[in-house]
Amino acid sequence: MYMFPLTLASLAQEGTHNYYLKRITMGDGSEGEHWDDYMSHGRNAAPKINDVFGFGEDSRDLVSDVLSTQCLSRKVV
Amino acid sequence: MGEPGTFELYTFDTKDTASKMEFPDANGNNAGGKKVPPEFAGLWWMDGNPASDYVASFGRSDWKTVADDGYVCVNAELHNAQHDSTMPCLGGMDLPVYDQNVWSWHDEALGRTVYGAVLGVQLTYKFECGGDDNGKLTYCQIYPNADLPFTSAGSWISIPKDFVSFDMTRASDDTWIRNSIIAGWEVRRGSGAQATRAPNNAKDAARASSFNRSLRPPFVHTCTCSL
Repeated sequence: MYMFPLTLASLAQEGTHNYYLKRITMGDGSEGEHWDDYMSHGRNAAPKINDVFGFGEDSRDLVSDVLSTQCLSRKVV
Repeated sequence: MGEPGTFELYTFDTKDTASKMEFPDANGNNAGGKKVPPEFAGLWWMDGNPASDYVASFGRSDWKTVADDGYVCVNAELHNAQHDSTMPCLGGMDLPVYDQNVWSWHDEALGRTVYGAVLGVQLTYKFECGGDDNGKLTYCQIYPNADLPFTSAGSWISIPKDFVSFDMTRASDDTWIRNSIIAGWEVRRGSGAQATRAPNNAKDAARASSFNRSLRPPFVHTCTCSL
């Protein structure tokens, strides 16, 4: 319970809190523009795109890895 | 704020992300009559996020506008620090990070531990947005809200914007760029490496120094969900 402020401390010390929100699924459930990158296990090249003001281009060579399983929460009935 | 109650984590295959998570339809409609701007439809991968979470959804959010719903923004004017510009706040919505099927976590011990912390404080992100790019929002300020144990029962606190400020700027229909300002220090990706912009003034510098000192070890190093 007391971890939340600790997480902020971590961020303050690391100073590496920056990333990209990419649509992987469209509103109709179909695959989004970034689905293939999401499923590439970090092997696809990171797309280069600026924000609408002309800043923030991704300097990485590759997208990040997503493991083959992950977790979601559900309410316990 | 999401639904109170007891939650548990379950594992799913990444290839099944779309069928497991809840998300707004193409018009931004959610279950229960809730609605978000259509530009937030679908599911969003947090590519490059160093923390223990992968995918975010606005599938349990409910956007309210200043003009039509009387929504009151934290700040009537949004300040985009990266571009030193301001714009009116047009509305806002909450994203309950701990809630069912709207936020995915790494399937490992750290992901589960961090989710426990997030659930413990019912971490909720408040998004307040503005701007106009051919009728679409261009910028959102993100305020972390937590039900911390040192407040009275059921009360909420917002992490002061002076300490931590998350925001995101539209890049395209399918991409937003996330930036952070922590204790007055702007952290953003620069050319070829992480770039950190120094505080704008002596007050910010003092605040940053104080914040870092006050939160250094013996606190345990960890990371958190981080939309």
